[in-house]
Amino acid sequence: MLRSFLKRLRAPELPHHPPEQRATVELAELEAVLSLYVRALSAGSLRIAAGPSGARSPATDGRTVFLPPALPANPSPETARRRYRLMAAWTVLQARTGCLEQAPLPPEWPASALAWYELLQGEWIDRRVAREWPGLAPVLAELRREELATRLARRQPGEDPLEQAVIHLLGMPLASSAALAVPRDAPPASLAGPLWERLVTALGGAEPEPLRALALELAGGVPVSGPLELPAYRARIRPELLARHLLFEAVELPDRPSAAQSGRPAPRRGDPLVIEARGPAQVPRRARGSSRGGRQAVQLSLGDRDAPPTMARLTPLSEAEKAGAALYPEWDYYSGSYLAEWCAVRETRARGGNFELVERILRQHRPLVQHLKQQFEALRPERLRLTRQLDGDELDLAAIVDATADQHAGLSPSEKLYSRTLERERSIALACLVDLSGSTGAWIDDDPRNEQVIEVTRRALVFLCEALSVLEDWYAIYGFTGTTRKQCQIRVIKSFDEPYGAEVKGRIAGLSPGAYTRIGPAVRHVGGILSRQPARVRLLMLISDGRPNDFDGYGGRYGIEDTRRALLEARQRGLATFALTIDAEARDYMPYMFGPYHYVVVEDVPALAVKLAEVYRRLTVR
Amino acid sequence: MESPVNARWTDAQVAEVSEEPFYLPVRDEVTVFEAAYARRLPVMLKGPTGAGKTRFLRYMAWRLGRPLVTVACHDDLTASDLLGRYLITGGETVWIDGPLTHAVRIGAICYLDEIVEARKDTTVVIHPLTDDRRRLRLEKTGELLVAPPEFMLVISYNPGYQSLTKNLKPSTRQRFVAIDFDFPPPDLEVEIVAHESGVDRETARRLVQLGGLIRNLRDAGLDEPASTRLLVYAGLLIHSGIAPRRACELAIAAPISDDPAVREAVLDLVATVFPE
Repeated sequence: MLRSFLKRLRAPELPHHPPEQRATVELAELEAVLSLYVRALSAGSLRIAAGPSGARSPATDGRTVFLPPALPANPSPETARRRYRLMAAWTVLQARTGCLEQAPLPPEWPASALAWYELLQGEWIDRRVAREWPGLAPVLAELRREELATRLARRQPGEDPLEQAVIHLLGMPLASSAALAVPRDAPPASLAGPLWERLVTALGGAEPEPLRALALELAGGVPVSGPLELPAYRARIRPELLARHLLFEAVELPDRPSAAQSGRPAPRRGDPLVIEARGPAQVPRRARGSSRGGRQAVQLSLGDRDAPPTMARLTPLSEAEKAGAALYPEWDYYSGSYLAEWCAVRETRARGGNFELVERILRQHRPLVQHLKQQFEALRPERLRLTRQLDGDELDLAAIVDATADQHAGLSPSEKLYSRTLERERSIALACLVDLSGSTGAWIDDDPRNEQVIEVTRRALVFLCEALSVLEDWYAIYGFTGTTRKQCQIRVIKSFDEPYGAEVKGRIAGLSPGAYTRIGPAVRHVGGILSRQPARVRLLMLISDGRPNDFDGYGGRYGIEDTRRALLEARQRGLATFALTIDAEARDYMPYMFGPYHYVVVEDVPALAVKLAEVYRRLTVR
Repeated sequence: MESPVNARWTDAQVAEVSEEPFYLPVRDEVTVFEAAYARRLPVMLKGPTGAGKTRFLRYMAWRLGRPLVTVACHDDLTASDLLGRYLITGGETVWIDGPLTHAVRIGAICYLDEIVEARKDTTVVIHPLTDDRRRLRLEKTGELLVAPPEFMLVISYNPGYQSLTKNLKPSTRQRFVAIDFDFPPPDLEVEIVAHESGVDRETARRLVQLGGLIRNLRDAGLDEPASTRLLVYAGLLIHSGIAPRRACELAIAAPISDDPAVREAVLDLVATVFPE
């Protein structure tokens, strides 16, 4: 509801031209929907991103589907939307059916083998798309017809056998292998004979494997002159992308949902629970990397697979390091025990900034803030006196008088003689724990034209505070960052007993990215404060942009396990825990840390600003 | 004290399940339930809405040959609504059993559906019935009822994405044998959708495929994933002649989320699975 409201608000600024005059549809407009679409089709194993500008075709590295940044809106924007959908679905199938695993062909194979393989797997995927997702078949058939027409129009005598094959295959129906078996025209010379029959069987088959051998045979027997020009909707196999992908393996955690059906190749060796980065991966130097997590975590877990802790790791904190700090234990997953007094947490007031920044946010989003406030007003505790009840705390005098009168009059009196007061006290305390690690300074999608993640976080906090101003919920906001366990920092943005006023606004305005994301100690510290608040429901809400991660080996599984422990401890203290994250890969570890229903992934980062207040409202509605 | 089934119950009903309800077991839930019944253990059916909890219970009531007393819990449900109350009738006060008391008296299966919706103080009245004493004390009449062996208490609980103010207390949860209900595996779900809605296999298969895709979006903040029940509803509309895409839009896309992006993505999925 809120989003539709927002949409209405934004509507006038979005399309600068009336739809029919627009030259292109940009991926950015469809990104929120397409990313959900790809998430659904790939069971959460793939995400989307914009390909290089000017790209007309999709591509994938097995984890990300790169889509063209814009498509021509010709003849209508709807056409472009359908094509985006088709490209996304096509590439998902390519990544999920094992086509890519077949692709890195042995180096001794002739160069044209990859071209043949691309052609054949493209035809196979086309048929598979039509079979698996029949709703896309008409769009696909139309694209194939267009492609064929273009190629026929520029056909020249003496064309390449590869081009002949493309034209012939595009001319065949998508529907079924039966229809395939009776070609209208005889196949071109390169595909004739028993080869053709094998090809037809393979194209209708359930697995892409046979295509590899066919491609090799074709490459051996038929000389080709140039590289193949693929139909634009198909993703070209890009060995350089795949090579990068193969350097990384995903974290597989025990109760990650749908890991089994996700079709993601199982990690090949070693402890499956640790992120591995092998080979000379291009590692960003500083934590200020991608706002989408992932890469950063990989960087810091380099080499700490089953790494027995080094001596340095096991050194207790010195007195100087302990001075003035609250000390917390840490869960050492290597040894399966707690390390006592392991992390030094220091609480500081967050730096104040110019609160004019917050006022500006409020000015820019006034209708939205008002809408949020109205929604939150509906959460206000109600006290309802219900009269004429069958049962209740007090007698309803008026009802008794009526009943007595009725009885005297010889009527059957009403039996509803009680009244009762419904109390719906809220009694909620909220502690917001905001990730201020370096990566929040990154631009959304690493694109400097976008805003920084921290700007969205800032807006989210302003919206939440404004909305909460109509309730009496007790809340506090803390930022956390730090470098190593010796210097974990909690920045108090708003403590429980502080009002939301100029000073707090100043601190929200002054929020700036720090260093790393050591979640465990932050959860323990703030969880401790929260558990002392007198409220019936106590909620610890984490706003995060990536995996747990710190400079001193707090990455990969170690960080995830400690964070999970810290959250378990919090829940044992009677706190409810919930997380909002913008890390598209969060479903790899979030269910393990927070439990299956206790987190939300917001892939459309700007939406986080509203989502925070919205999630809070939904969590606390009675 | 004999008491008739009361017409004044607004949130409860008694049913003798005389015809076998359609139910396809997913795992060992039937055996487990029968064992719990034999050992007089209370049972908690845990799972998302529309996954077949209520149907399963009707089926078990039929199998065990016991009447089923169902109470739809809500936030104004009081202890008296469950236990019973005095009513004034023609100048006299008459005690009328509530559904729980009634179920104890007749040895029925008592089903408290969506127990978390009830007020906290209400859930406490079931505690003495759930331990081995199996007793129910009616303070207002001073009666102490001991449940007969045929009596069984069943609650349902949806652990999904919901309000924190409505969580089941551990002291309540830990009194029950929990049977997990998730959506059935695809082959079984196809059977169910086809049987319940009357659509052909192929359509049922497509509906189940769509359901599976939408369930992949659970952590995108869907209120509820597309349940088997919603798939059946869509099937019923299709069976009545509504075009598949439109039927899915009405029965699936609209009910599961208010978020426009999620809705649009769901519509895209519908358009992916069903041709125009």
